[in-house]
Amino acid sequence: MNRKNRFLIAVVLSIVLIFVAAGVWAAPKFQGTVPPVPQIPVTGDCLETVNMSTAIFTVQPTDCIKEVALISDPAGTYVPAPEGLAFVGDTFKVTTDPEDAIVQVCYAYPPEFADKDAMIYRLNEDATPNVWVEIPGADAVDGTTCVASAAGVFSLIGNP
Amino acid sequence: MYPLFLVLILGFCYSLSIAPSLTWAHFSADGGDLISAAITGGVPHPSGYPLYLILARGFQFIPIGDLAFRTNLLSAVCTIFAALLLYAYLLRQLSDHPLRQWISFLAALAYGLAPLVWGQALVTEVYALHSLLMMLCLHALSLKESTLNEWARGFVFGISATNHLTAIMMFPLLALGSDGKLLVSPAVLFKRFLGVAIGLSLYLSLPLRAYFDPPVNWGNSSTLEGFFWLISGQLYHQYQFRLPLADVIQRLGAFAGFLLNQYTGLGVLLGIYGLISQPPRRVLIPTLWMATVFLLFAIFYGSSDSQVNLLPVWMAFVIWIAYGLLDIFSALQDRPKLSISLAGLFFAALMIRIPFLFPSVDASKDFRARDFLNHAAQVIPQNSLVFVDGDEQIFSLWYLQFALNQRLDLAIIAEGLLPYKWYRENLQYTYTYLMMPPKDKPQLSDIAASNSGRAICYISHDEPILCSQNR
Repeated sequence: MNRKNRFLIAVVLSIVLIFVAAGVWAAPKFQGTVPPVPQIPVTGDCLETVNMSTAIFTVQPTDCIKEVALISDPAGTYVPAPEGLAFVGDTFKVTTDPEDAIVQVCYAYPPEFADKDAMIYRLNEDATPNVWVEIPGADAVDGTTCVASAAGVFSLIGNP
Repeated sequence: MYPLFLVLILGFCYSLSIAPSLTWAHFSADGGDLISAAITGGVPHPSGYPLYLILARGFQFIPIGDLAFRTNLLSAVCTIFAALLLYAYLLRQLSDHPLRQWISFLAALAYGLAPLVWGQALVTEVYALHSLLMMLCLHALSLKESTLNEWARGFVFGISATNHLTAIMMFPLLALGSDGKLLVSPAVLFKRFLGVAIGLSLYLSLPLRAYFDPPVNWGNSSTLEGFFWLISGQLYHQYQFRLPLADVIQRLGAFAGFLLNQYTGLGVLLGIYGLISQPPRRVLIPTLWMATVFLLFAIFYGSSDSQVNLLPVWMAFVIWIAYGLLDIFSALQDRPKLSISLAGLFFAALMIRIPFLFPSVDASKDFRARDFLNHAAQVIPQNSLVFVDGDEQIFSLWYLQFALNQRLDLAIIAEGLLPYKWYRENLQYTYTYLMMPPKDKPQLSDIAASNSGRAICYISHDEPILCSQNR
């Protein structure tokens, strides 16, 4: 192949590369050196307290927690946060026996969350479409905010 | 003269942009793990990187900057040596051309200034050393038998794999002849693989390190099972060939973009031109093999930072750029002044590019790790159990505790490693006061309950640090 032809081929291939070039390297989130933490729900026959690190759930001794599951994509799984607000903490689905047992929900509440006026919300699954409703009477002490509510789906929602 | 300029230019660029301390820039989240393992005589994440640990420990004795800066220096030095070796390699291959020094110099400089290469020269990671060793493998293959013993040739390949396991993808090249023959005889191959085995034997230093129960001790390689788990990289087999097709296609497009970003449109044109100008077989086969296997590995490996595996691809490509330049200068052989002017123009283009690249590679102002550690040290109460998720956060805290000996009151618990027995054992002897529940898969709440009275903190990636009293 003579020099001119080689050069032409190189020009054509370079132009093809320029056209197919994209900016972003597909990078699976959090697939790094330490394996990702498996999102396994905490289950049991009759749990009184479940510590999910970012939140603790407790029921009366007469009731039972059957399962607490972390919801990694609350907006996709349920509905987005109310307009103008955002999910600032983890979202959990708490299943109890009886189904409507009263649960004390305590979220870790560092200054970063207080600055965003973050509040504990419960998903109203009876409404169509579902809607996040703030649980009143939150008590924020020593870096923790707690409320009492019927079992369901809970999240910490505040300003973005 | 040319090597001196190479050292001065790359040294100047790297010294202005090197990370001054622990950094997360340029995919270097593992820095805290590697530094801590090197200084404590420990074993970092698979595959254990025994060669890197020895060299890093040597650099940690240099009395300038902090511990992380000294280890960052190793990467800068390795990259400069890789560029020098590339220069020497090309000089040998282009031995009959009057402008061979210019061509080799320009190619080595272009390599050292390619953004991905430059970035890896500034941080604590194994990839700068990996590039140097890959260049050493190419060099070893090209040397005649009278210059390098066959076992020594194999040794270079073996020792390369004790830094980064992907170097074993280069082993098939050992079947290539070095004196113009395509394949070597079985006797020569045996000698070379004997050399490989001797080089690989450095992995045996890992069980010895693990035996002394260092705080960073992945896999506890003092047991046979742990040793094979570690050196086989079993933990990361889950990342291989698991990428969805859409992501693979996206990565192919991104590769084209990266290539243009490393060497510009002109460099890419020259590289492709050089490749189809048919470099000699002794250059073409090894570089084509190296570029292909590392490109495929980078594309199909499912980790979030797999693009750093493209460094050997850039190295092969810049060798093709050199052959592109060679062909152009050969065409201008009877016009020496024009050739020199053109070489000068290429050099000027490389130099002019430096200030434009600088902001994107500069790690000298990356204080994210330092800020995270300062904040964590401030807000985490005394004697807390700290559950951590995320490479940056876990390894930075290891660096704080194991390398700098600060906040020794904290028990740092990497959540993602809790399912592994070796890690739970490691926690027991590192934090002797820690009560571990006798379960195969302890939940965080089990550990918290077994250690009542200690505050619990939770760190997940870049989310706020959450702490509460554990009653």
